Amino acid sequence: MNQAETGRSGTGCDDNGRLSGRQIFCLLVLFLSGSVGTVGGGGSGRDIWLLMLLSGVAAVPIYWLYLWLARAGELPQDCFQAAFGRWLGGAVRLLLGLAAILTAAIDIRIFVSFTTATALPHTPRILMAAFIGGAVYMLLRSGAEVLARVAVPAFVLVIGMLTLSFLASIPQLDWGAVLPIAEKGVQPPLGTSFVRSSLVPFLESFFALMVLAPLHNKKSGPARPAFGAALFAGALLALTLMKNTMLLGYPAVSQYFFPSYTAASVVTVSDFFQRQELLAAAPFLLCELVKAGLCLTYAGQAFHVRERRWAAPVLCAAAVGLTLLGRGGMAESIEPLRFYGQWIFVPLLAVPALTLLVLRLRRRAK
Amino acid sequence: MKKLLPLLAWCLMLCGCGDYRELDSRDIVAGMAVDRTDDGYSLLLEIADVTAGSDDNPGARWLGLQGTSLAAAIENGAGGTGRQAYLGHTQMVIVGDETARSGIDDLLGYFQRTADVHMTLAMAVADGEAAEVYRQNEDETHAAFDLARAAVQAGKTGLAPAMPLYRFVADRLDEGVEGILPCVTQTDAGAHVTGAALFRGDVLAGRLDGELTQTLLMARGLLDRGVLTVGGGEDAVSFDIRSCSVDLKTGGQPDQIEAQYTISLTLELSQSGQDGELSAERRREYEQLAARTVEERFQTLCMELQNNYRVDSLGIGRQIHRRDPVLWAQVGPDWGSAFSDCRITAQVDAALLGGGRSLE
Repeated sequence: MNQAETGRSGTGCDDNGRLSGRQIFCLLVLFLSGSVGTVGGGGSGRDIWLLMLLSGVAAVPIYWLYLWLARAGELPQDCFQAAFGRWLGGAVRLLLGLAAILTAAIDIRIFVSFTTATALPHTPRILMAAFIGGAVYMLLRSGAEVLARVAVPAFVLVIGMLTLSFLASIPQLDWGAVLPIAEKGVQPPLGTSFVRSSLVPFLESFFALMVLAPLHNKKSGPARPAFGAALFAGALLALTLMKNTMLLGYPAVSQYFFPSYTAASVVTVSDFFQRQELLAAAPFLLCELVKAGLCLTYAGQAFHVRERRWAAPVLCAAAVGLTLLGRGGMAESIEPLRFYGQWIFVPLLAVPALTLLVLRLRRRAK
Repeated sequence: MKKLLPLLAWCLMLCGCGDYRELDSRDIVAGMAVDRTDDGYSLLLEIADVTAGSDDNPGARWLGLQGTSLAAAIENGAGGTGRQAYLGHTQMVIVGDETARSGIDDLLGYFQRTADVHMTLAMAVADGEAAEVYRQNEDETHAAFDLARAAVQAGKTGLAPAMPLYRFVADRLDEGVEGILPCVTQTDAGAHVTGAALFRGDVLAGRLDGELTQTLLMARGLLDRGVLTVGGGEDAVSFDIRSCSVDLKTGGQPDQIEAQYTISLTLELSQSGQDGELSAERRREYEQLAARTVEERFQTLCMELQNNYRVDSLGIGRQIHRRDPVLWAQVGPDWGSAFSDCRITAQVDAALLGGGRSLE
């Protein structure tokens, strides 16, 4: 899927088949919101909402780094070979491609686990994985522009459902449940919890930015929509996490596998308007689909596969196959995933930062 | 691509087939009574019988189960009836007195893990064996539904706490507060939801009657409305509580915590033994009477909680934790003792709107 193939006429994009800033903004927010179902569970702490807000702010310079790299060569992946040479740069590119497949696999696994835990405990996982794998396959075959066409209405739908869910929950909120803030000081939240729980979704958007940035129309750069998406998504996720804590209480909220879903299920407006799980589940699943699709689109670019029709089934099969590994959680099946929140920093932050440094030094040397 | 579309459509349609169950292959559990035995658990389930009664008013039947665990007991039911119990529409779970006194964390854990169970499930504590509540109401076709509705109404009027499962779990796990559940009392007229069961952790520690429960709910800010009655018989004065707000200020030193409640009530005169127009003087007299009554009941409540039961059902510790974590770090580890020594005061402001549609 090279850049030449991605341009199309009559795509509904604003200018010459390119994506508008609004579409990139919406896609990035949907991508980041795909993490909302799992962030905030598993003992991540009362201050997770604050950490998410800070992560949105911290993501702005990180996005600047990613966007700089995306402009460094003809194709986003060229920057690594330009920095490290043909072979080492190629290896870095492949590493990032594998990381993208892994991220997509985790995404699909979360989708399957969510559906199993909340609705269909007896349905074989392979069926559900095949279903979302099929949907992701269609996204890959169509390209990012097709996804971008539905980005704005999908964004409106997701935000509308989340807003409705929040408004309906207001009478039941215990506003003091988020207190005290930073009970043990500032340092503990900025440790491992911060890394694992709040910043990782923004690091994973490396894949989305590498796909979307080159498709942006040339009227203005993609920086403004990207930065805006980081701040907006940080605020949106923070608000969602706050709502979950105020509804379910702390530390009770940390006991639930999918706290947003459980929080939505306890909201009752009247005898008629109950069980609003759909308002949490539908946006979550849609965002997971967008996230998996963009990650695998990047993987295809990283492997320099020119024909979309060959790349799509292979990548989907790889992601779905990883998803189905093992009986328990993926972390138990694949040992490195236990520390995903730590080592993912290497390919998604350390490597891009190093690439930027090397490229700048080379340019200065010239 | 076109060839793949049918395959994707099949995936969509097949996704739920593993979980599909015919309605008549499930027992829809409307209510559950849980009692612990020497060997495990004894359950009495009220099953909504969709084949009996009418469309709008299905009947009910009863199913007694035993098992070494809750899950085992429910599965044993499937072995006997051929139907699997479905807990998604369970309205109320009643726990026996002895069971509650030995701890209910296992029940809470089971309900939290079971995907079918709705976290807004109502729980209550019986004054004896839980199954007796349903056995006494066997002639009632919807004992569980009626009791659940009664629990909701009692919660709104302050007779008993409205405590859905998720809220009780939140209190159970939070620091500085103990959970409360409504009590189900068996009388000659049937089962009544009135009073509060006080928990220390997951163990039943004591009970409060209706009056003190109302006062407790006022102090916790959980009272929507209700009736405040002073005295009895011909001299009884009753007020409709239109609104209740509370402000809690905490402070003091680790060896002497102070908690100051300010409770603001908006009332309407409902019943009075006096005749005549509701003059300004009479209005003030009623306001002072209401305020004094609530203050006295509040002092009685504090005495019960601090001296008799030694449980912080008021949530003073939680308030300290939220507003003053430094102080909480000092008193939190031994909050049970600190709460008993806490100086708790209340100032009640009552405002009487009028006599409803009457001027007297």
